[in-house]
Amino acid sequence: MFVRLKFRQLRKMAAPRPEFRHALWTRLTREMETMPNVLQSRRMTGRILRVLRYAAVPVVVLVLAMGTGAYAYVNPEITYEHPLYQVKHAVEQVEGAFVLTPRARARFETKMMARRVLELETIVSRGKSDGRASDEIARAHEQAISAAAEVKSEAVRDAVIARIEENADRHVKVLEAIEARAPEEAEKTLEQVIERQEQVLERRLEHVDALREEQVARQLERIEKLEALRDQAFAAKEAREEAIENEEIEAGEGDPPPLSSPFPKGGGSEGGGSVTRESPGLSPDSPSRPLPDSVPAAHE
Amino acid sequence: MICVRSARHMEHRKFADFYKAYLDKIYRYVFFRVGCKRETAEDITSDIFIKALANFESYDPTRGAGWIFTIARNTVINFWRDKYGREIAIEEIEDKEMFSSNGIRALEAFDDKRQLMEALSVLPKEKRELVTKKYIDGYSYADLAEMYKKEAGALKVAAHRALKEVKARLKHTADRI
Repeated sequence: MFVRLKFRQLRKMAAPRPEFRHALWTRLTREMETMPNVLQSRRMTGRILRVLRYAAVPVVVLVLAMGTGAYAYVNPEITYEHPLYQVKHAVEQVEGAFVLTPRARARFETKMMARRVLELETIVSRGKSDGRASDEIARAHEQAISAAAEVKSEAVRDAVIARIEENADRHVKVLEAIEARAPEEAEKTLEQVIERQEQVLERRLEHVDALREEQVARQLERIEKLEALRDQAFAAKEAREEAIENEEIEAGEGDPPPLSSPFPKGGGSEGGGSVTRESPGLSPDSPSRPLPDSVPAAHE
Repeated sequence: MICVRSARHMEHRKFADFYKAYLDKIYRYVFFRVGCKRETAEDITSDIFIKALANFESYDPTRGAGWIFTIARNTVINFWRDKYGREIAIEEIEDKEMFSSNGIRALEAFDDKRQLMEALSVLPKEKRELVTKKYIDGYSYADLAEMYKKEAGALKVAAHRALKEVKARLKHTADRI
């Protein structure tokens, strides 16, 4: 039973009608035209940007011709922290521009995802970890799923999705390794990863007609696994903070406070300890505070 | 002249992006607080975006969704205040329109959604509020962290645990049936 899926269906049920969406936007556009601070759109900026974008193509071709691009392209050691990473990225974009059919697009995007996972493995093998590589994987994952959903042949689609799942599972394995090595550092990374993986889930749900139910469910299971991992890391952090707190209390009991101050170490904060941690209990002030004005000020 | 026009064009695009990002969330927020009535939700959502447009100069994108949700909340409160003829808090509206038997009945046609709202309605208030904000209204953890003045990590763990409770209650209901 997937509660998140039910919530998603509930949200979908409560989505605005397309006619309403369009009608409201038309009304707002009319309002904008009559307002002094908003004018009709001008296309000059867009045109300039488009010209600049086309100008970037010869630059990429030049880099390719020099051979640097080819070196960067094939090398998994070239990760995002490497100076040649932008070149690698540009070459991939050029390759992507020549992919025309949905089947080729799906294969290309899956290949990109596999490359990103390989890069993360390289980064972790160097003893580093942060959320950026996982962000890249999630982006590639989303694109690969969207591309796979466009493939007409069910057999090809299943084969592509099997590869996507394989890479996604490899990603989770790397994260498990990061969590095992340094749980406290991993907590933040895992939070970012879960957020991005929820976007991947949304993407899968968008294509729920093309994908089979278990192909959507795999992603839900993956998120639950990551959440359990994050909880584990969070518990480790809490335990460590508690240990520090206890140590400080013990130290405070052992040493008499200095003569100049009647307060123990860390005095000034309520409770006397220098380590303060908010409990996860919830008591937001804003929702319960009635606001008389309809529009809040920006500095609120 | 070109600079002025470009700046205005940017404003136009900025508002278009803002509209795209928040229309669904705001509509949903209103929909569940007006007894799942489409027409009323559409009218109130329109009012909210007209107000947002009129005051768009004061919008600070770095502050997340709080700005537009505050407009939405106040507009919903005003709607019910006019109806009841007295001051009313958003919590009372939520109790009456979302989690009371009347509110849940509005979802009668969607049986599993009704069960979901029932499971949610028996959660402790704080947990229910967090799950509603995250999974129905669609607040991001960053927005929630600012609202509750808590760390996003702690909220994620709390939301995850609350979700587990919803799941357990749904399972309990399914077993009973």
